[in-house]
Amino acid sequence: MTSTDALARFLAEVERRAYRQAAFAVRDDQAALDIVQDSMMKLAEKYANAPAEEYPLLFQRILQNTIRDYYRRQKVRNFWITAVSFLAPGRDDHDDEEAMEYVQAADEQENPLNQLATGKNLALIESAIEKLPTRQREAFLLRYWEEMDITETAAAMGCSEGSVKTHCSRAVRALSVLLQDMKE
Amino acid sequence: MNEDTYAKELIAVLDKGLASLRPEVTSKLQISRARACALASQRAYPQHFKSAHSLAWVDWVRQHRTVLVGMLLIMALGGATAVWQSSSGKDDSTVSIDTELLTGDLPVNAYLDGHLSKWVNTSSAY
Repeated sequence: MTSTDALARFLAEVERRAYRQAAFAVRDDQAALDIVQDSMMKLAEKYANAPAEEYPLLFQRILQNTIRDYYRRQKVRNFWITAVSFLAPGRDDHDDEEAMEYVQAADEQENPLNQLATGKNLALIESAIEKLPTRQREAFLLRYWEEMDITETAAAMGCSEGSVKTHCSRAVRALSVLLQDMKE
Repeated sequence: MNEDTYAKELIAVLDKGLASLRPEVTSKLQISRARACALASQRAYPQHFKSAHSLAWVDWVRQHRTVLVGMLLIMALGGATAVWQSSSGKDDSTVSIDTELLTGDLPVNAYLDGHLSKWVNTSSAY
């Protein structure tokens, strides 16, 4: 089997989970798709000839870094948007009211209680995972969804094994509490 | 409940959810994968080609090392000779003018007003 075939098989296996991971992190489907595509291209460009058993760890590192790059770009973009909107004339309270209405509507749509009423367990869990702190979510998803061991998770996250254990434990407890609250 | 067991139960639900991704999402993921694989295959071919080519070149250089060094020496010697000849040729022309000036063996034009410098310049141009 050539390296390209191995890469294709690996990507086919991992792409959906990678998409969900990115979506949990950035909460934007289109951005999540872009992040996954960028990560795939980076893996293909730089590590296509790497041994197939190294793909999971390499891909996860690339994916996590690409998500962090997205956060940085968003931060800069938000700074400029805020600066421009502050300087731009014609700001009035009407815009703020519209924005508040939009936020409230979105909250109602994403409210776990509403989803519970329709019996969407998956949506509840996804919503709870989205609410986790970034590092806890990363640790939880890498450790349990990607089935990495503690060492691999630590390597992918760039932290110590002890930190991974702590993050995982806290993530599971937080999920338990969040889901309990949502069901009540 | 054990943390691991609880986490695995949650993951089982998430895994089931992967099957119900929207069709446009799955098609975009497939397109991304196809692009990545195309890039990987493009990268793989030139690398093999380049490495084979560079290996052949290194072998050829090793086999003909003596000849290459000899050719480089000959080229360096030829260059040095050309430079030396051109510089000595310039000296000769200056020497002949100096001799003519010292011996007073100058053409008649050189004795006319303003013609000496002109004669020197035209002579050095030869």
